[in-house]
Amino acid sequence: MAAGGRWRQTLVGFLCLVLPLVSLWYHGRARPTPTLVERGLMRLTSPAQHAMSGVVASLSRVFTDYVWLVGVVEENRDIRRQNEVLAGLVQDREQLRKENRRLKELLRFKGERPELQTLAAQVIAKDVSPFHRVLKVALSAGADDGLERFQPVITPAGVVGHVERALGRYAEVKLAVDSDSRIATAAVGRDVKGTLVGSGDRGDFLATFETLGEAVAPGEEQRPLEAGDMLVTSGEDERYPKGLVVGHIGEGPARQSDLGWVYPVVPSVNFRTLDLVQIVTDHISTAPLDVPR
Amino acid sequence: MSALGQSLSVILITFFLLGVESPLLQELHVSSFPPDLALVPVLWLALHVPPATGMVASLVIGLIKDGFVMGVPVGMYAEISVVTFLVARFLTSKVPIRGLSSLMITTMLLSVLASMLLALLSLLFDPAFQGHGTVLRLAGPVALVSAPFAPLVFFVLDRTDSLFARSRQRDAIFGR
Repeated sequence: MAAGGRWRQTLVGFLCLVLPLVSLWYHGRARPTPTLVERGLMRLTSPAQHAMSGVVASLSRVFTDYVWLVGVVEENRDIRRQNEVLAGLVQDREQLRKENRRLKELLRFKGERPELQTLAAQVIAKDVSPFHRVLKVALSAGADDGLERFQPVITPAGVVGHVERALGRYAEVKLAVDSDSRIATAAVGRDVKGTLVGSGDRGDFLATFETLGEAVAPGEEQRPLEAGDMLVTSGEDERYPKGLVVGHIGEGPARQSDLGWVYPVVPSVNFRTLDLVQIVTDHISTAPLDVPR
Repeated sequence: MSALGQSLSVILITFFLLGVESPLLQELHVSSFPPDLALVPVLWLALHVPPATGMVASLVIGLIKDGFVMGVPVGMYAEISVVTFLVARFLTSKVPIRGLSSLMITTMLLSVLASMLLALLSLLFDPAFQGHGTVLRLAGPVALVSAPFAPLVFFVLDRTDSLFARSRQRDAIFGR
């Protein structure tokens, strides 16, 4: 290889190794708004994932509704064809019924919490990395921009997580069970406050609740909380509105830490079946903490 | 086809693969251990294009993966892709890939390397990330899941390459 070519190759290699490191250093620091590169990548990947999600869902529907049924016994072909049509109609109706129920739940939730200004969003992709608990959502058609980092994401069942990055009508949502997630919480009906820390586990979506030291009286050895105790946001982190359900204390054993007790928590939201979520864009911080147990 | 054309086609195919990966895994209910689909095109580049072009293409593939894989600082997978490309070139220059089994074993080795790099770079550049243990614990399963996809992706890339270069005689895992 000529000397010039070798130099060029070395330079390209150096740049290819160093530029990502510089980008990592720059993007690894917490910042309130996405950078130009992050915006560019989101603009590139989000519509593609949204489109692919639709294509895969359509193909899956075609496959399960039609292709999978081909090859049954010959003499039943006519009956099966009729059955396919009927099954398709029933499935369509069932899907409409489920969607109707979900939308009704959303409407009911908005009525119950009028202090929350929310935008509805559809989940278009879930994490492809086994190390992060993240969703990508697309706002409903016609919704304006204005999403910001750390805005709470909820469903009628409870807290989902917060907006990590946002661009236009797309946003990445870090789930409450991500190991980086911290939510100020309080136990309903008990004088116990603490922090909900995501476990980061993929399989069970558990979170742990670390109580603050002052919650346990000096010398007290008994656990102050019991399995089934409901946890809601306390609003002290100034990110999540007060009174949103996050989950309940699980059956597992509690352990003592430097700051208090650490309990397993079962989130109130089923993260596996998330379809529609709401992003809280603004709220009046006067919501009551007393949620019925 | 020129190295640039080859790289562009590989980048486009990788973009498609990564775009379809998430919804497909969710649809098939197998999202617990997603295969590292961006790794295989990087290995293909290491075998088929000159180093400078391959490094740039690997960088672009890594950047695209940074966009698709949510939750990591931009640059994480770009760095991993470039290092993986260089290691893949070194490995394949010492032990040539002949047949499907060596292809799958190489993919597994590179996948483990990529997981270790992910843990290391997260430790250095992503202070909020706490899952280093999980990354290392899942390195083996992710490598095992990624390996069977290597022949499939190589088949697609070889076929695409041959569409544009019928007259060229080069090594390919899958014949022209």
